[in-house]
Amino acid sequence: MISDTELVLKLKGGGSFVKLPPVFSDSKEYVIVAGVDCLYSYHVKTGKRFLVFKDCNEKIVGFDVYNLEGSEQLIACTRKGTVICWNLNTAVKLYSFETCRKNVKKFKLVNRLYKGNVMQKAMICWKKDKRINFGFLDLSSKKFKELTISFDIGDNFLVDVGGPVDNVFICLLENNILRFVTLNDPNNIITKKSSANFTYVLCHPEYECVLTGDEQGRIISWLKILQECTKTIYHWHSLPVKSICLSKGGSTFYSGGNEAVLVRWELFEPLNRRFLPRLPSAIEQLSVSEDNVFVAISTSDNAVKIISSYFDNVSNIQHLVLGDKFPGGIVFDPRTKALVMNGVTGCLQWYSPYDMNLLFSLDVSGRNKVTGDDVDKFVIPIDIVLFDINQLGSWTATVEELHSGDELSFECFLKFWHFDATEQKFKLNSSIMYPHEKKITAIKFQPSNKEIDIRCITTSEDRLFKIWQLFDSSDMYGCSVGWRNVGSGFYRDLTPSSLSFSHDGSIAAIPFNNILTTWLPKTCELKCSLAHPIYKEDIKQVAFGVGSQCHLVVAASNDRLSVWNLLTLSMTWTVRLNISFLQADFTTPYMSVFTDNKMFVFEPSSPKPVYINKEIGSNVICSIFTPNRYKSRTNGKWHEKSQIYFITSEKQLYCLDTNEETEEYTQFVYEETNNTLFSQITPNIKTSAMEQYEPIVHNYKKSSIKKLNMLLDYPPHTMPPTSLLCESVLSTMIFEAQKQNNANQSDSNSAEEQGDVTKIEIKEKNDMDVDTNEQLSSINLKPAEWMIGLL
Amino acid sequence: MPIFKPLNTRIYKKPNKVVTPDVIYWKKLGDPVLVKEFGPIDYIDFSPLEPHHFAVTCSVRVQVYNPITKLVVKNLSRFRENAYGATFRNDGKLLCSGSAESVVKLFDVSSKSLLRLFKGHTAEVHRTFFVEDRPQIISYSDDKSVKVWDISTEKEIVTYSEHTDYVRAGAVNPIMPDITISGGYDGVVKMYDARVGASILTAQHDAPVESVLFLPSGGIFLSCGGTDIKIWDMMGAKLLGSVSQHHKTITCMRLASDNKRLLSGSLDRHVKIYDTSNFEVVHTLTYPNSILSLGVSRNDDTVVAGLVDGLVCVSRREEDKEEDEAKKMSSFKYNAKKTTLQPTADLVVSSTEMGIQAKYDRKLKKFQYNKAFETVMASYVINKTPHVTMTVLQELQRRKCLHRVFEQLEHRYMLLLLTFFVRGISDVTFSRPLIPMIHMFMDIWESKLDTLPLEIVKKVIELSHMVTLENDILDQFSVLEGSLQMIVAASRASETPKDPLQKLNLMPSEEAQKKLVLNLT
Repeated sequence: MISDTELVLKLKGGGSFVKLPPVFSDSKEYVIVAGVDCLYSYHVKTGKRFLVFKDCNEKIVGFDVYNLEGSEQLIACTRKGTVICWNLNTAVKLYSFETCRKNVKKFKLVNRLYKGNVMQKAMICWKKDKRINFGFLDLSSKKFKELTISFDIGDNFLVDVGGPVDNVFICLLENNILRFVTLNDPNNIITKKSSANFTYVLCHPEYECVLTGDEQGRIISWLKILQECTKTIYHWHSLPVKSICLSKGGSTFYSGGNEAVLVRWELFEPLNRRFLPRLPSAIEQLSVSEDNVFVAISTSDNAVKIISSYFDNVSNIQHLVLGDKFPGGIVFDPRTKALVMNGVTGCLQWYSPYDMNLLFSLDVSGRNKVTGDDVDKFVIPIDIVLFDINQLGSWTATVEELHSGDELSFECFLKFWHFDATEQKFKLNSSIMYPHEKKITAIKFQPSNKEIDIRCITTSEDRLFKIWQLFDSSDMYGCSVGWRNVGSGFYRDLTPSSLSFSHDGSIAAIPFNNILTTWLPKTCELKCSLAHPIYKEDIKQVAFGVGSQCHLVVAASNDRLSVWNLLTLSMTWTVRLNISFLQADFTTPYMSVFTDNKMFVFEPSSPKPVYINKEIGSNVICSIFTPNRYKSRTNGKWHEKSQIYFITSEKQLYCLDTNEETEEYTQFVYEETNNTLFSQITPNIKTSAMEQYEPIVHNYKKSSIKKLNMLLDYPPHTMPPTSLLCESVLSTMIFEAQKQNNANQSDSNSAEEQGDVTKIEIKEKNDMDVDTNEQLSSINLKPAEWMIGLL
Repeated sequence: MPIFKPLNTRIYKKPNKVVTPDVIYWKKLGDPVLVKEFGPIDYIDFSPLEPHHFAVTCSVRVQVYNPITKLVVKNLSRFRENAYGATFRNDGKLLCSGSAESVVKLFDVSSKSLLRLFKGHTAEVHRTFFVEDRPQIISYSDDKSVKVWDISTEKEIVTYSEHTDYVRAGAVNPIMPDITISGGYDGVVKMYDARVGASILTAQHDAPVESVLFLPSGGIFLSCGGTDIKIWDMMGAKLLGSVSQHHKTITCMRLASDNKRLLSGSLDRHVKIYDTSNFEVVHTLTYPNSILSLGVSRNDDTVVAGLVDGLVCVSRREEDKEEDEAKKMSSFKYNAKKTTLQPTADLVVSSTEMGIQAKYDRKLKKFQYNKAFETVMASYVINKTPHVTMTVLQELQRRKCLHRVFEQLEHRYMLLLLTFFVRGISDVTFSRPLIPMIHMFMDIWESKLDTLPLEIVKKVIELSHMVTLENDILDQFSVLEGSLQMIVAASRASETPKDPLQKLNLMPSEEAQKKLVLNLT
């Protein structure tokens, strides 16, 4: 079987870091953030990662930090009810405790305000057969006490616990009903109703006070529910409240939601509020440090922002941004060796999978994030739908589109960004409004190793493809470049769906419905159009082969994969497959195709796949081949030189990798683009034993004449009078001649050094000759001196 | 917290003229001061000495002006008939001038006294020049001759009579004093060498030459006449190039900006400024009437143009030094940051600095959409910066609040909005985003039109007329485009190369048909 068992899936990033609120350590030095099944501690001031707390192997439902006998400990509870405790400063696992409860909903430490009190307890809440169970774990004695309160309640409920240790109360929310009960009197359940569905609940750690957020954006504080029940309404949010967080003293609280605005309220003073607007994304979680100095804001772009209590930025912990989708797929940036994909709305992000680090993000649209007034009036932002980076990594092209219903309000921008090497950032060079009248389906740079004469092609649903070219717009005041449309093409009024350049960039393949056409990008001239008489499926994607298979074009339709030979203009082979997408490698001849349940790796020359993976397939959104950074020991295999990365529908980035230790590739070079079949059979290094005689060339002819010509080509009116020039011209010629002599000698030396083994031998002989000559001359000299002495 | 990103209003802005450093430099010249003289201004020459007085030759006198006060400093009026082409010597002390009396006159500038009188020409003398480093004067006359005079003896040294028409232009080589050129109305530029005593070179300009000029290297000379400036190489009179930027006769040329720029004045009322390395126009100055003569002071401070109707336009460079000084002045109170020591032990809470934001941006930031709409609907915004109005309208539409704004529209703003619609619908860049907005407006107000005041209804009718007109134009354009495409397609079809053998349609010749061989196997 071709299937490789030695390849395993490795997580390279992604996954939400903002499902649970971050927690500050008591020393305020670290902030702990929950990943998928790990906890990470970061330095508050620098935002750098410090420790990883593993050993969970399960989804974490809650975690907290507590102080036991002077040492800080981190305690977490998984969904299966395992309580694990680590030393916070060393990440050493201290103990784990099985409560053996499935389906844990909530884990929280109570009475944390009483420091030094040995009676610290952890509350675990789980649901079993329509009954809500509560367990209290005494952290010093490790005793677990269960308590069952029967509520008639569905699966989607919110729960929180609060109050001092001697009067713990529990608050349960479902839809718009609030249930309140104290542990001292568990049978007295008080039920309250609200006009809107609840979205968040928070119990005050000291008083009999509950804060709830609802879908209408209101925050209600319920005070003394057992007695008269006073309600205070805090209403600023227009969208549902996503998170509320009380300060440690309990006098102020923070709230946030989809508006991406942090609001600070004073308890019982609904009009006294402060705002921190324009956070990068919607607020998911909030947390306050022990002495209220820092506030951690988890935003939906998978980042944790730490601000001071006076709303100054302290640090930013940014993970791979998980957008709703990745419409532009993944593009490999050859300059930074990073993967480029859509980030926050209107931004591109550069993510390095090797160190799992987000390098930077580029704000393409430059617009403010605007949330609508209502849930119904959602403002659709303009977002990047396509992008590409050229082969040198110096240009990025982005396509932004906005479809807001009717055809007339369609907006589209094509932008070209140039990488400024001195400032080390991308700068906007050209912005083209309405490059096409309709949706753009593909954008690709022409492969080129040059910095000039770069072309880019866009295909669109307006049945045209357009060629954009970099042009020199410099004048006498300075150099500048820009992009402009140099040509557009169409074929039979059909819609081009995809685009692929041959490896040397000389030809572009564009499919129109079921017809595959090839064009010369330089002149926009149709070279050939290929259609099979039987297989008439619309081609969705095309890709050129690489190297010795550069004459093959792979065309993928929804249920067929076929390969065309451009030399014979015939179909080489075709296979019936339910293809979701095709991904070509740009350095090796291999390609991968994803179907609804499998992934195949194949070469265009053969219909037999070299690798089949049955685990991945349907849930892959997009993928990319990257040159392998590490030297793999599996020589000759398809994954020796390149790796495949892909993003799954769970927004996680994986790569297929061997399960062995890897070492760094020493050389990381591209294959040259002008690697023809002929150049493959000619040797790279040539040696010859033939001695080459250099014809005698007069010195003045060699290079000085060139310079003189250069001087004569100058416009005469820009030069000083000839009488002043004459001497210097003559003197430079003399100097050149001398220099030329020296250069000749050094040249011949270096030429000999580069020669092969036989030549070195000759050189050694020559050296000997020189030595003897020198000796002879010294002998010759000596008698002369002696003679002088005599005279 | 990231700052509020301002709206990008440049999207809909019409591309304005590129502002180059040259434009900024020459724009500083400011409006000219006009001085009225009698008769057309024949010649203007600047004194090489500070403060660069300039001599204006017109009618029967030569007047020396102060460029700062624009007042006459000296008046040389010892002419019975018209004076022509008064030029300063390189020390600024002497001045020579031709005249209609067919004599060349030499003046002392400070005492205004006539020092020499050179007689010998038989017709008007239009141009006279001092020879660099030599006590000589060269004069160019309508008697078709060029004469070189010795100043001390008042005698003529050489006479070149090689033109066939009036000689109205001349120049002396700045490097080689023996070389001089003259341009005549016979359309020929001649170069003379005093050592040879005759012309050594002839360049055909093909139009009456109005002015000639040597570039400072002395190897290249320019001649102007007709609408062309021709650039000649001294070696063999090679034509290096021809510049035609004027559409009427070019009358004068001057070098400026340390010989890096060339100015040419023409009867078409323009002065074009060229870069002397590539002769591209970098700026244009416009004057109220046809220009006859031009003068530029050594440091480009003053540009003087003499017009046909006797006006002397003196433009002076405006200095901006005073402004810089004003900026530096600040009271101690407000400059406390620089003078007081910053405390270091305290925790400093820095205030966030808000940049200057446009009014509409401030309103948008606070979600005050109606107010943002009202700020951009002011008539001066609509008239001066329609692109701002367009961008804000589109932003409101993007934020899905334009509908509400339109619903709550006051009559005053409705009228302005309709005016904007009427004006914008015919604009290529505006029409596309405007169409959905007009749709929205009409959806809301169409049924209530009868409740609106008459002038608004009139505007709506005007808008509908405008839309029909636009539709008609677009129809015509598509007809034109279609016919053009037919032509283009036809030309392409004819281009496609055919196999030459196919055209021949080879048939077997009679001879070939006769020699028929059948293979019987």
